[in-house]
Amino acid sequence: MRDVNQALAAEFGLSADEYQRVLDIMGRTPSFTELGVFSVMWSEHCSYKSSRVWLKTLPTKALWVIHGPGENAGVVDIGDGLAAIFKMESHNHPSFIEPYQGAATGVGGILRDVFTMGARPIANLNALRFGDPKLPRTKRIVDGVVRGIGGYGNCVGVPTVGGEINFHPSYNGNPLVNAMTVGVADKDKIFLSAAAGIGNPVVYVGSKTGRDGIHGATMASTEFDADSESKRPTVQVGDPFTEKLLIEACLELMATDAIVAIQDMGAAGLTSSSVEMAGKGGVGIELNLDHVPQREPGMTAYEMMLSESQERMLMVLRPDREDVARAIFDKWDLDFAVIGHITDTGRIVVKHNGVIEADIALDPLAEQAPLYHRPTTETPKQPELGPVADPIGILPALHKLIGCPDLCSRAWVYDQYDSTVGGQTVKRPGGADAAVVRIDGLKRAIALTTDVTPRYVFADPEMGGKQAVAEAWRNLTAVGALPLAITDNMNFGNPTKPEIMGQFAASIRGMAEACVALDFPVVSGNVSLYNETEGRGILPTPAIGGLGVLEDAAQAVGLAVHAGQSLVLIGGISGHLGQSLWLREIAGREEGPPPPVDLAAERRTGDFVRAQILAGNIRACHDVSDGGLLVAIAEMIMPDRTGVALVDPPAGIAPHAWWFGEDQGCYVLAVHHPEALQAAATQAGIPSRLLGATGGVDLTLADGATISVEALCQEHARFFPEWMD
Amino acid sequence: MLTGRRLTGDHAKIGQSQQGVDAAVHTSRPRARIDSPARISPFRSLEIPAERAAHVKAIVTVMLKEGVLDPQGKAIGHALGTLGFSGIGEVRVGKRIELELAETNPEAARAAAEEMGRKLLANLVIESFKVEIV
Amino acid sequence: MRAAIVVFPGINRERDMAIALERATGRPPRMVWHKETSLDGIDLVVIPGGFSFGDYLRCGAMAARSPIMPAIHAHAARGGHVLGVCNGFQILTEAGLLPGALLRNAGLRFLSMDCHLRVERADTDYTAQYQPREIFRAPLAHGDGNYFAESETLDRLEGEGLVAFRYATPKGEINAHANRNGSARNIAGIYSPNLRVLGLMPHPEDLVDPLMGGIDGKPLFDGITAAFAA
Repeated sequence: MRDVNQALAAEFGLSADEYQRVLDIMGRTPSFTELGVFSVMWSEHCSYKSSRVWLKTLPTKALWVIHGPGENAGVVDIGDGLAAIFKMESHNHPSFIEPYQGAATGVGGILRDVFTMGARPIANLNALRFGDPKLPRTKRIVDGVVRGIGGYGNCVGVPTVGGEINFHPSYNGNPLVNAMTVGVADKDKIFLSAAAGIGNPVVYVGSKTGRDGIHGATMASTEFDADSESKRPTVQVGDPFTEKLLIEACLELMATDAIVAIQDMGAAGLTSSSVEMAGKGGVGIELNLDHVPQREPGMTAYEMMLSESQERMLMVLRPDREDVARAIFDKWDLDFAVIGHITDTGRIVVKHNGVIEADIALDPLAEQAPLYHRPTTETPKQPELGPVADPIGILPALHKLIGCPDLCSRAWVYDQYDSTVGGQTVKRPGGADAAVVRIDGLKRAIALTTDVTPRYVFADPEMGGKQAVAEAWRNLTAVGALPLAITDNMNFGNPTKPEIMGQFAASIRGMAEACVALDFPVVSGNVSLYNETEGRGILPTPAIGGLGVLEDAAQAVGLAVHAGQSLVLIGGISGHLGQSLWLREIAGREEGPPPPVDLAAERRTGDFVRAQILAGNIRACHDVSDGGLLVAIAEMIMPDRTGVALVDPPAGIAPHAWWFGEDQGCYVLAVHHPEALQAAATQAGIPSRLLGATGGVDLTLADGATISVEALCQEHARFFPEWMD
Repeated sequence: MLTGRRLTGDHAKIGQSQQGVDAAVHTSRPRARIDSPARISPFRSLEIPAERAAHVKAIVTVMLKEGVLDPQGKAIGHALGTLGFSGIGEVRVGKRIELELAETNPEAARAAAEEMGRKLLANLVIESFKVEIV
Repeated sequence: MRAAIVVFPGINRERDMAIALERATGRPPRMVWHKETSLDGIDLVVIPGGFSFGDYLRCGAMAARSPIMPAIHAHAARGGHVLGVCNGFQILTEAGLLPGALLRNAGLRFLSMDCHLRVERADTDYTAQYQPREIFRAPLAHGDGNYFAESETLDRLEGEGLVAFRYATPKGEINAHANRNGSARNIAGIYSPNLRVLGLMPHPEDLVDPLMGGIDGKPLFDGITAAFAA
């Protein structure tokens, strides 16, 4: 056993100041195990020490919010006496080191955050960012991550219904794997993590503890360097079969009155779960590690406290219900062990082999955790773009854009995810702007999406943050859902760099403004910092997971149009090409400010569109986003292979800017009665314009230029299969 | 070891990673807990703890029967070819199952393992197996 | 019709199946835990999809040796109806109730998408409400659905009319393009010789509600229900 000193503390990721604070709290040199506890609890991953000051500024309340940030996941009232419980969490660093297991255990971890609160998980989503597709490493990572997400999610039987994938060289050495789970529970049967009841048993259930993932939480809090591959031994291996059993066993137990408090063992394993449960309950906790189910012989207290073995939960039970609980876990062949009890000491005491290995006061461990007001510098505003000539013409640009990695069909990816298990998936991946999943036995459905446009955030973090929230709100609106709340996954670079912290602060500012304007509060979230390799930061990526509700699943609309419909643009297009994919893919430039988001117009337009959908007037709806208006139209005509004849752009705007500008707050609606829709829009003070009529097998511009929908479909479908198989 | 499952990784990387394993142990973990690299095997739970090594170990190797298409083997063969390895004939992928048996008579152990192979470990419609006692 | 759904640990489409059965029969099926040993009073035994025992070792291998299996064998031997879907089909082959085996998909990837199936004969208890050679849609969701059997077995299945469904294009062509998992002779489902035991890989139970994209799977459940009403 090594001596505990500042050098060891530094290896554990604690700064000199932080180590001094440990010494002050303890009043003595901590034991090896105690130092381990401090190091993981004070890691960026567990303490949010760099981000907390900013996260506190996000709006988190609304009439329908039952539990905001601070619990395992956010909880919102969705009507009919039910609550939706949801959260998104990153597993970026593990997914770089071992893509399959990193992604798989990411899915497993977020599932546990949700079912630990009493909800049966009903949907998974994911937000993925990868490096340059030309690199062999990117291909290997994409393959592993997609297999990992599918391998875990398919096996546990939770449908993967949506997500997004982008590519950018800034993710070359640091992919982002953000996984989101949504569950549903009775709103008066939500389980929380605050321990209570002096003497109550502390129970460990699930898989046995091994040496995997030790110090994963601190790994997630440091940059990668060239020898990151050396961190492979800390990778955890997921067991979705055990997770499935754990879901069923926990939900069965939750139907009884046995549980006082419950929390999953996620990052920092037994340490964070026991410390947080006791801390939140204002009690103490004593653990005897001799009783921890162990997979390997000879494990030390330090290893057991820091192990990140997967598929484990910690519970505080009513003492008279221990037998009921044990019988349920026996039935499911899962380990069940009383490993301690709740005390009134306000301390965590850890015993092993008759020795007290750790004895720490909980209040200072939490309250004196470091909190940093890191310096920030504002991202300079991008100069205006000015006019850009069209080098290749409209239809060649469309053909190229819909085949590019960021816009091509994702079918290769989502065809590996079971999206129908559960039998409630109303809108599958690719079928609508948001996934729609009905609640078993009811008409009610929830709508789900994940969104962020990292290149916008990089160019203007505040506007990009605003746009990410607005886009999520828009995608939920586009299926007819009422947006309720978001979860956020803040993926940024090294927070000790002022320009990175500046991106973070400005993004939060923009997000907060949009959340307020759209009544769309943040109810849960996760921060992943140090997403840099060899000093290069990723594009700042505040991924937003949005949740909305539909009272009747039958009212949901998709994006596929059919022959005999008219397409109407709702919202105003100015032809904003700055930071657009057209500019990047066709003109080869990544420049200009991102498109501005007018939140008042966003709200007005979205509320109008939703009302039209719920009135039954709309056959299909798709928002205008990456690639602009013509890409949106192409995405609507390809599923049914229906042609469209488009009218001319308005005078005074360059055709390529009209068709490919990425103006915000716009929707394309398919209707049978365009005049009625446009009259209603005019009355609501919202700009609208007839775009064309569907039919035939070609996409035709007013000047006669034509491309077959079949050719578009082929180009759209080409990239992933050619690249991967 | 690590390489056992990383069938699609490129070889240079695997080599690096093994050097890296040691580096990580020295920098991010207490020395007292250095274990042999074997500890990180995905099959570690099947390895025999030293104190129980007196028991007999049966190794059951399960392979797809001749004539049953092995798409994994095909894919691996293809991948090896693209990595520049030439002269590779057919590649077949199988399973190795290590059983620790509370039995000291090797013949009895073999008989038990063969019965396990027939009843569960192999599907004789598509697979064959062989038992080795060590 | 009294239906039972056998639940092995790791099964995950039991609720989908229960919804489809309840829609057809008007009453919820009995859920039977794999450690039970009796199926008394049951007309149709259903083994649903999922990953029984994690599909570790081989898909369905450990489930096929569970305590409930002797009762399922006895039910089948009595001429009882048994329906195995996806993992259920794999379990039935592992248990020897249907011939052949399900191997890894030819492309080595999990497949989740709609496929089209051709009804090979419309005169069985399961398919009486389809038309002969009708093409219907059903979701696929499996990593190991590549049907394999020795060629003599395949010849016998075809010769005795025991092929239930084949993968087809939407227009009804039986070709390699339609056969995403690489199954021998495009076989998606097979019967026992008495036509009472049916195993298939796709999920008709996930298409019984127009809201979920169609009701192509409904005739199968209505058909087997009607067979017992007659």
